[in-house]
Amino acid sequence: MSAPHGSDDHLPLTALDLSVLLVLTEEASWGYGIVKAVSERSRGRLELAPGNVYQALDRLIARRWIRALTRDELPDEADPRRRYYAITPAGVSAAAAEARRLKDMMPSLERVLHPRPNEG
Amino acid sequence: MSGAEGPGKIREWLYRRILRAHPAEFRRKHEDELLSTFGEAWADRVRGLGPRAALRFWWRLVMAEIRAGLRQRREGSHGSSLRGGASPASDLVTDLRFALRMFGRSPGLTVAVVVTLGIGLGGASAVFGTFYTVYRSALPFHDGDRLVRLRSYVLGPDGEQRAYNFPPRDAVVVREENRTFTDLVAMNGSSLALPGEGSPERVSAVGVTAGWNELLGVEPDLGRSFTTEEEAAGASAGVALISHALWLRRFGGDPAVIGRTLAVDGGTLTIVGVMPPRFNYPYAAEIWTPFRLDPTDARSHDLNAVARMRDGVDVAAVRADMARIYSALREATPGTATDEGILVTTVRQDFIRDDGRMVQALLVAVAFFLLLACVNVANLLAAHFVTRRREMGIRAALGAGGGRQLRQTLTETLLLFLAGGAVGLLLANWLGDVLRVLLPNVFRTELDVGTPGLGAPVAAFALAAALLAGVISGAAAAHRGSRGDLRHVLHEGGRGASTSGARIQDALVVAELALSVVLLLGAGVMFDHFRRLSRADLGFEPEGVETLQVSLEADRYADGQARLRVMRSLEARLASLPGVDDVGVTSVNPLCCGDWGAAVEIEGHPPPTDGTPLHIAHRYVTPGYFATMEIPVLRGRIFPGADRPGGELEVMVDANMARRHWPGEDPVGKRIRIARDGEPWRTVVGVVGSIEAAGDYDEGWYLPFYQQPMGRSNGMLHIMVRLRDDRLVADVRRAIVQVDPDLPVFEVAAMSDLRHQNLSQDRLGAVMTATFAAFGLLLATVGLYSLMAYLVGLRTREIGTRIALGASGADVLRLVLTRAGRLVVVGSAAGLALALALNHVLRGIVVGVRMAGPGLVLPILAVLLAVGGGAVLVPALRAARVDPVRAFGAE
Repeated sequence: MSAPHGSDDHLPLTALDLSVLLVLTEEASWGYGIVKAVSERSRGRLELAPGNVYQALDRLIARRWIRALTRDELPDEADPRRRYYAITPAGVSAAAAEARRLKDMMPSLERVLHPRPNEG
Repeated sequence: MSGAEGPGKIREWLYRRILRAHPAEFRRKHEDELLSTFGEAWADRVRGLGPRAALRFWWRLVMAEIRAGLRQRREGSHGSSLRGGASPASDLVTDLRFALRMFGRSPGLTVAVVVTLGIGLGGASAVFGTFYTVYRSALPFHDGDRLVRLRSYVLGPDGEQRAYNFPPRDAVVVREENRTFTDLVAMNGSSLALPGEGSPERVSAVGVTAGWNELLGVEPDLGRSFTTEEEAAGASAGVALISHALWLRRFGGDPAVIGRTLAVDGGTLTIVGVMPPRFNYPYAAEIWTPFRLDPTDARSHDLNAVARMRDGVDVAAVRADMARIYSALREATPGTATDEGILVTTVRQDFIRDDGRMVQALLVAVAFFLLLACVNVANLLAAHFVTRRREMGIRAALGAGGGRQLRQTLTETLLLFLAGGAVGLLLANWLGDVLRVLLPNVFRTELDVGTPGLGAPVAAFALAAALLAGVISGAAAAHRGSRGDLRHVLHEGGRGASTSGARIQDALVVAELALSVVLLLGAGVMFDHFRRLSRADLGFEPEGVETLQVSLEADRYADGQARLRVMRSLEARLASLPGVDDVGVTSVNPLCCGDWGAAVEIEGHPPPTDGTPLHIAHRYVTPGYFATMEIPVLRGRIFPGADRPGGELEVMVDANMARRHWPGEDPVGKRIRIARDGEPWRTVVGVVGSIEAAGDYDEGWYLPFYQQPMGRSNGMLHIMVRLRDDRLVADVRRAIVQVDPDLPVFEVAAMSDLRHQNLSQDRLGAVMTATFAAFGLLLATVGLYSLMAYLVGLRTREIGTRIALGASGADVLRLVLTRAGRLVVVGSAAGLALALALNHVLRGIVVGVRMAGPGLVLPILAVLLAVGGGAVLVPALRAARVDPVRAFGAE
């Protein structure tokens, strides 16, 4: 199952990695901020435990798709006790590649979910 | 965030434990962040929302962190991303993660399956543990399974071997003539009185012959065993080994006890050693003394003889060897009966005797029960997997092969079963303490074999049982999940239910119902048996009678007149107490500790031609005994000459003896005697009712204490007092002390309590089967429910079609109920048939059990129908309410 676009060998992304990337494309956030945003976006279907988040953050940092913000870079409203994470340009393009891959799959997924009624 | 207050600290502590699922490096790196994120999540999601929210939060948290930790550890060890490889190992981890996620999503199913399995596996493991302890555990002797016990036997008229303890002459002969033993020792049980300031007591004492501790392989913890000189001198050596408990009790565990003396029965013993804790073999011994065999004594059948088999020798070889020795002995000793011999059993078998039956019966019961639990879990899983057929279809469409899917379901099932096994082991550990009462007495009181519970064999058994059950149930459930092509699954509709798989489902539920019928019937039969036992007429009335054991010590009550005097004044003193209705004395308590029999000769009856001595129980009693015990006098009078010493010797016989030996005649006036040289003839003066005694004899005769003032050789007598109020027993004790302050009184008990103790084994059996039956019925109910829910779920479209075509809700209800009703009827019938077949097995295990009659069967069937109907109603009503539009439109 190779990705049709790009040469990124990390595709497909796990639902967890993709969700974290998608949250961070909008704004820099911290541990529980990400948990809450992922839960809201998935309408409660994806509830992350703290361990899930930091594991994903570790992985994404290793791929240089996100990075931790330094104290000087913090947004104005940020709580200085928290550590904030922001997406990198490489992270944005990885998220985009995954989105394209999923979009290409849509027609076949549709057929699975809505078979033609006269087939049975 | 800091969580400084108490509950916050506990939460944080708990969460830290959960985080251990992750590699240590990860935890160290993110510890502060993880904890603060957890704190925020708690504050945001749970605070103020009540315990349900908290429970859900924790459940998800645990599942998620375990999953994440699993993934981390795998990635750490492989250094690659999860999606990369397709090795079996990575598939396994994926399967595990997926399984955990499924459990996280359906906690109800997970809990139901784990608890069901936990109960099934727990019960099975606990009983297996007991079984293992009884049949396989190491006896606390060196190489204990090479030890055999020797007894004498006489063939009864029915061809049955009646066993007796070994006589000294035979022990000496066998020790010298055998070719199969390395050594043989004999142990002679008795008891010793220990006078003491305020607490005189009587303890079990055992005389042991030379080489005793070498043969058994036990050594004193403290001090030494007997020297060769002491062994040769026998009892006259005046030395003793004492039990650990006695050492603690009388000497406060003082290590300087060696060399000190112990005052016993007027004499003294020098203590040379203390045995290991909890070693009380044989006869719950507290004192061991050297004992010498008298090679000429062939009559005193009072030895417990134990021998060690040589290497390469088995019990059959020993039996042949003993037969050879005994036939030589028979030739050398004219008058020895031909149907006597030496009975050889392994020491373990001797310990177990009949007690093994209960354990075996329970093992059969729990095996059934585990089967029932497995059937049920297979049903639950099948009902679960059918709702996931769509998901599996999608996975298949995306390229997951059938084998891969089968592995996924197997992984999920195995994981559930392992969790069930873990719960089961915890339960088994707890049940082990309860099941200890099932161990044969010897295992509990004389040998330190420990409590059956968690041990390597039991854990291995639980694991094996869990895995086996998991593979079977998982395969059965997955069979349906992986079967069929994609389109069939995705379009699950019309006729899907009438396949072979559905027939398997039906069969499972029928089996389940049948098994619960068997268990219910078994419980009913056991309860009935117990009720009859507890109501059974004993021939005397234990209620209201207190028994006190006194010991007329040999040195103070050496002659009969002294004994007679003290017993007379005791009886008179007790009878004068307010609240005392009757007083009597007996040498044998019919509810305790066996009977006391001897060979009997009846005047005018030729001795039995086959040489079998006529063994009948005889009891020394005072005239008040019969009134106290409410034993009816059927003919003649109670010892009319009792007050005239020197008159004609009198006896009373019981009804069984009268009927058996003087059929159609009046026994009064006939004469009998103990068949031993020098024993006088005694005249029967009356017939009393027969009693159910704890011993082996079903007939007995009574000798008047006043003409033969003796108890057992150690002077042990039981005072029976019928009291209006059992609190008066303290007055009785006081009165005895007033008559003789030095008379040791022990084993004070209510006869009704002794009766309950005797019944406790049967009660336990009844309660246990009832418990199994209750669980069985519960499982059958859940099974029936899950099958019906499964069928209704499977046929939603079909039912929708029917309703769309004009079928009413009642029609649909009838459709479902008919289906369920058929299962209940077939299951009950199969159960009844099975119970009928098993009935004789049960009767072999529990003597005296009666077949279940319609009075038992009908209520059980009614209960089953009611419960079954209830289980079916919910899915049936759901079916009747199917909305045809949604049935087609929805997923």
